[in-house]
Amino acid sequence: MADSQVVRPAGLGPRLVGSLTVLLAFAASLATASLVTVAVASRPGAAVAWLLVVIALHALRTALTRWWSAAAARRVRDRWRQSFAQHLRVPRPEGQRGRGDLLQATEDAAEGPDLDQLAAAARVSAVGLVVVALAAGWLSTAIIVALAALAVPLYRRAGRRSQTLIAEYTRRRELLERRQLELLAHATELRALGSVEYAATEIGALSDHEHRAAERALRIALESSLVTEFVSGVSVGLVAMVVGFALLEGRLDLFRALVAVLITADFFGAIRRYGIAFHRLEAARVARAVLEAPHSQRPPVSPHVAVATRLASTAAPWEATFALGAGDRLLLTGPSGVGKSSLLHALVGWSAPASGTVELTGAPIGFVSPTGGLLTASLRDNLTLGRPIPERALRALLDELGLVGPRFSDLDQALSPDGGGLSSGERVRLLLARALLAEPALVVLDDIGGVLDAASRARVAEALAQRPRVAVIEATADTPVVAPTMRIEVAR
Amino acid sequence: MTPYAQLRRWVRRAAVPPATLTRALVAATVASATSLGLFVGAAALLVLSAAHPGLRAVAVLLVVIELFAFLRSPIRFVERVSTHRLGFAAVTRWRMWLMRTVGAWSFQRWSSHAHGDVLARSLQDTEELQDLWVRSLVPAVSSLASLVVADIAVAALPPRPHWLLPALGLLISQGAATALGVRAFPRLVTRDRERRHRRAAFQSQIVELSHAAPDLELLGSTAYAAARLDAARQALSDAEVASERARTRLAALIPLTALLGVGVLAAFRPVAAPLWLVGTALVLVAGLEVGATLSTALETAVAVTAATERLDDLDEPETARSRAWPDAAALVARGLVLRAGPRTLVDGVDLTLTRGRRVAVTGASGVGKSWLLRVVAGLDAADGGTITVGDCPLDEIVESEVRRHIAYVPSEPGLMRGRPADVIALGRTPSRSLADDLAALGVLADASTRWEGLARGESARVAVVRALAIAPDVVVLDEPTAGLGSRDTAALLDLLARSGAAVVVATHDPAVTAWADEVLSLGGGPASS
Repeated sequence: MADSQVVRPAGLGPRLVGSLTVLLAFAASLATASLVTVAVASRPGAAVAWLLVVIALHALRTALTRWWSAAAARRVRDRWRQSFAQHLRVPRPEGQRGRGDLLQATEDAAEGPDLDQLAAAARVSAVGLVVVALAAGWLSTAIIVALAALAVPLYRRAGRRSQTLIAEYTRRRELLERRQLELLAHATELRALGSVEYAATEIGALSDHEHRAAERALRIALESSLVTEFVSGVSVGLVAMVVGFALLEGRLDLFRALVAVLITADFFGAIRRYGIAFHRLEAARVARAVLEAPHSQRPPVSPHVAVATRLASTAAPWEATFALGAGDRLLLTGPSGVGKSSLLHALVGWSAPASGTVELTGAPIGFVSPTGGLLTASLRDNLTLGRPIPERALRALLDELGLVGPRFSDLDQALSPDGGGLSSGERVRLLLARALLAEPALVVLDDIGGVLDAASRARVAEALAQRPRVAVIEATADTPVVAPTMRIEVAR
Repeated sequence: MTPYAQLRRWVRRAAVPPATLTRALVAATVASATSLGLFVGAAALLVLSAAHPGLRAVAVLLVVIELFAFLRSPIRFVERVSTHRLGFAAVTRWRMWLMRTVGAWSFQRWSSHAHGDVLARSLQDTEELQDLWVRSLVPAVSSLASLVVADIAVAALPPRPHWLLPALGLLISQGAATALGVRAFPRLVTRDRERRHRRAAFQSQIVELSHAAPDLELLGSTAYAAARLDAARQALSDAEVASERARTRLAALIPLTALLGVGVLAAFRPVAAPLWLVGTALVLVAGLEVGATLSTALETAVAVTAATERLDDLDEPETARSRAWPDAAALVARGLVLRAGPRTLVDGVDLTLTRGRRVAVTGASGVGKSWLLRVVAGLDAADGGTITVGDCPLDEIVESEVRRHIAYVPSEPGLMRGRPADVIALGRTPSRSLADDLAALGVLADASTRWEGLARGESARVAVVRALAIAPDVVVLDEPTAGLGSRDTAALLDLLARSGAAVVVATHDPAVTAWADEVLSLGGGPASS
């Protein structure tokens, strides 16, 4: 029910709620008309009763939209947030790990149901035209339709003019933002020169410039939003005039006259609410693209551990072909920057290969690199990842890798965020321990030799030698850890 | 500080011109009252037409109402434009505030904020604060004003004293509801803050997993990663529900107020004239929409407190500095200590800078040279020791005085785009010939030059000219000759010598150490004189 048109064709929920809000608004208008009619007939008791009905209908409508919109938005947010884990399966560069894009897209997508509801309400409010016709005759309806049709070319014109002005405004805004950031980024230097006040004045002047451009764009943008305002005002006025004269001539009773005027206002109210929300549609559409971006696919499962055929990453033109069975040790060497890591990423499915094919084991794979991430959790949880592994096994592995000393004595001690306080050599060995505990078929070592001292390198080599069934791929410039059974050398 | 005090502070900081404020409030009130009047007036006129069929005067009134309907749209237009102008005026002041605030920071504070997106975020926050005026204060004030206008109109209905009490009753019920809303505000802010904290926790979980999840997935532990994220997601979702619930309770005030109004109406039994009963009842109905506007305004105020809280974190308490720079006095540093965590970088350095004195500071990178220089330039604090000018501590001298007497050139000077005169003056009045100084350093420039992408060596030389422009007593330079050839280095040292200022220079360049009177070697080596 929370699904919105922005995600797939609008569900029943938004259409139902949209229709209901419009009908409740119409009902409130009918009640208002009754209220006035009985008051004029000098029945104050009945008038007060109708007033209560009006208030109740209004409260019901507000509560319904409020409750439903909040609930629908919450469902959409929850659904997308639950999919975040899928989005996080591929490593991203340092600056993009916050995934502000996902969070923002979720907020935008959460507006989807409400937008659909408003759209449905705008459509259903056309029923009001029939009500007006029934109440006060076809002339009133004709007036509304004619004026609404008049609005279309006015909209178009305003839209065209605003395009160029908005471009100008955007340019000035970017200029201001760049300069502001530049000045803030050199704040100490400005202070040292005694020029802070000068910078503030410059920002003030640029800001005023931007606002002049903004005001020009705003006037045009307002013009288009005021088209609805104008058409609705004039329609209500004209309908009031038509029914007013009919009243004067005794052709119409007060109740019908009031219904015509009030429903005309409701009709435009629904359209205006949708018009105000209209610009958010685009954001919701963009959000969908972000949230539905394809996740990485793990390569097809192979009976071997890893088979690469003419595999090339997007970072470098060279190709690698190899077939690894259990216990094979492949050493990939070459100068730094030649694209070894990118090839490993393409191999495990973190990036799409530029060409070639990969097949991989379905068993766990340990990918160990100095930039691998640790969790803000206990040492034990970081190692076991929630699996039941006896303390003895953990302790033995830590000892085997030389992870001893006060920092590793208490398995229930929490690690600092991202393993803060550990040396890079300790980090890498911890990541390797985590990988080995998952009983992997393949361990990928991405340039870990450089952060290990000679003694640690020997321990790691020995630990891998003790596990002859595990296949290993190691990439390094010049500090290999494993004794290779296969080699690929990449020249620059 | 209460949320109200916080908002009040930002309103004061905006210092919008009273004329702009008045115009916006009047325009908004007129627009709001017109909508209300149009609704009530249209119905009342129809009643009038029904009551007096054939009355020509009513026909005239109908034309009047049509005119009003035509006017409504331009009135709205004026209202929107003047409200936005108010927002613009405020945002300009806030942007300038941000520059002045960041410009008063010590280097350490600045560098802890410069990384990450704090500065970019602050720019956005000043932008969002606009809503405080545009979507909160102006709509709230104008809605309340139009309600009061409507109440006065009810009080003025004939027969005269008859409607006074009902109007008073309406006013009191509306006032009570507004007071309740205002009282609820701090609680809403608390809930919203909780929601923001949960959101931040969720995001930091994303950052961490974004780092670790790819590895975990290969290890077959996707579910473990997802479970961690799920806990944070659930906590956020709960906080969002709580926040939404608080706002829903607030929205319930609107129908309750209207019910109070009905009670007032029923209690006073205003049977006198049916037409006036209609008018009053419709004012009550229209009040429902006004109430919705008020509640949106309050919710907007809650939303902008997030921005105000973040911006308030940037604020720097003003220190009282009152003393002037003592004339013809030397800058003296005694026993300076700099520490980085448990490590002591600099332990007990003394410096005496009389005019013309040249001190070179050397040492491996990371040893605290740049920091020491910034301390001497009064841009950073030391962990121990004193800096005085004559008998006056440096940190008691008025900032503008300090800046007129000490110049500082960072190792990577910036702000080098534009016309040479502007780049060098940066709003100050140079007391030296910039053209001569530039020529002395071999930088070619005339009145028509516009600097865009200066090379590093050029920037370094321009920065020195910029520092010397106000003829300071002390010049502090961080690696000014890095990347300069020997001829340029010689010219630069010559210009520094001719300026007559005391010079402190951090350097690796043997030409500079040879030129100095004193070499201060940091990081183990003994200080030699």
